[in-house]
Amino acid sequence: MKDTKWLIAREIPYLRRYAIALLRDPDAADDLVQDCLERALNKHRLWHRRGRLRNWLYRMLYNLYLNQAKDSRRARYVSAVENLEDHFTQPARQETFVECRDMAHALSDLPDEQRAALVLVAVDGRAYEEAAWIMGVPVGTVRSRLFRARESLRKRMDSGQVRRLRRVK
Amino acid sequence: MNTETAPINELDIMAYADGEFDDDQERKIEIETFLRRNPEHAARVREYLRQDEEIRRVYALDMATLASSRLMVSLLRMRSRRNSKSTFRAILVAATLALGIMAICRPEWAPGRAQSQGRFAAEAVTALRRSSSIDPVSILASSGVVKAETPQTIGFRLKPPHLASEAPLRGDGQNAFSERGEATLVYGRGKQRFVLLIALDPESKGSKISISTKKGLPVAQWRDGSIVCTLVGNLDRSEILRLARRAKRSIELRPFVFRRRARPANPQAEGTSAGALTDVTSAEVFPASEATSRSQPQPAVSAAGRM
Repeated sequence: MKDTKWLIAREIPYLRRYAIALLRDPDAADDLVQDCLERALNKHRLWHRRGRLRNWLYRMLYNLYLNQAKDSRRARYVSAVENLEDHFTQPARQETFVECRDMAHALSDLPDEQRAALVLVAVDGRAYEEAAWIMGVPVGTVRSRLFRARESLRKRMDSGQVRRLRRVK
Repeated sequence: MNTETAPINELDIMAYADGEFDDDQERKIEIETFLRRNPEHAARVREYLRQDEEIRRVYALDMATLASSRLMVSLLRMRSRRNSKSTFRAILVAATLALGIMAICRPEWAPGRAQSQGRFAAEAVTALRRSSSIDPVSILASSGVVKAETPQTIGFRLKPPHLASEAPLRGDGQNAFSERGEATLVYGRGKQRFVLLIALDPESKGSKISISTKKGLPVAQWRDGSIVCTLVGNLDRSEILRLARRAKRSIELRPFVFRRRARPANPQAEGTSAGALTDVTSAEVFPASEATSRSQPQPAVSAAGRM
C-alpha cells in the first residue's frame, strides 16, 4: 500500500495538468484530482500493476470528469491562461504570453472530447492506443478527434478568429 | 496519393507526425517516400509539429508547482481513512472466525451446547465403533480418577469394532482407590471427553451398569467376568449411562496373557526393564495401516510384563 501510494503521489503533477486541461480552472482541477486520488487508493488493487499507472489514473480522472460534467452541468470556464500564470516554468514574456493566450483560447473553444484527446497525445505524448484506452473509445475515434481538433485550431489561428472574450454557458 | 501501396491519407500523415509508425518501419518508409514526393504534405507534417509545440507551451506548467502539497496531505488523510476501513474489515473477519470456531468447538458457554451433548455422545459411540481418527489406546495419567501408578501391569485383548483386528491393550496404571492396574481408552473432542478404564478385578461380580459420581464427574461401571469397565466423562449423567450401554454392547474384552521374554544378560544394554514385553509391538497393537499414522500407545510407567 505504501508503495502504491508513493507511485500514485508521483503522478499528481501530471494528473493536475490533465485536469487543468480538461476543466481550465485550477481549483476545480484540484477537486477533480482529489476525487481521482481517493478513488485510486480505494481501487488500487484493480490496477494489478499491469500497464502504466499513469494511464490507469488518467482513465479514472477522465471518467470522473465525464461523470461530473454529466451530473452537474457545471459552468464552463474560458481558457483562463491568466489563471495558469502561477504554474508556468518561467515568468512569461509578453509575446510568449500573448501567443499562449491565443492558443489557449482556441483550445478552450474545442469540444471537450477533442481537447482531451489532443492533450493526451500532443502534450503528454500518449500513443493513440493508450489515449483510446484512457478515453474508452476506439483508436479510430481518437484519430478523427485529433484530426478535427487540429484542423479547427489551424483554421482559428490562421484566420485570427480567436475570441478574446470570456464565454460563460 | 500513393496508389501503388496502401493509400496514405491525411490521418496517416498526422499519425506519422505523432510518431505512431515508429514501430512499423515498413509503413513509416512508405509515408516518408510519399512525403518526399509530395512537399505540400511534408509541409503539413511540419505544421502539425509546430502546432503541437504551441499546445505544449500552453500547458508547459511547472511540475514542481503542480506537485501540490495540499493534495499530498489529502492523500495521507485518505490513507488513514482506508486504514480505518481495513480495521473494520479485520474486526468483521475476526468476529466471523470466532463464531465459526464457536460453532465447531462448542465451548460450555456457547448457546446450544446442551442440545449438542447428546449428539456428541452419539458421535463418540460411532467413532468408537468405526472411526479411524479415534485416538485408539492411550494411558491417561491424569484423568481425575487415576491417582497413582505402580509398576503393576495388566493386559487385555481389546476388540473394538473400529480396529481391524483384535489388538492387545496394555497398561500399567494403578487406581489408588482399588489398588489395581488398569488401562484406558480415551476419546475426546474439544473439551468433551470420556475415558473408558479397563481393569482386572477377580472379585468383581454382577454385570449391571451402575452409575455414580466421583469428583463431580458421572461414572458408569459394569463388569464382564473378571474385567471391570469404568466409563467417566464430562458429559451428563444420562449421556454417560447411554454411552456405557452402547459400549458394553459393542466392545469385546477378554484377558490377554503376555509371553515373557528371556531376561537379557545386561538389561541396561537393551534399555528396557526386566520383564519387558517383546511380542507386543505397535504393529500388533495397531493395524499396519494405522501404525504409521498414529501415535504409538505409551505405557504410563515401565512396561513390565507381569500379569
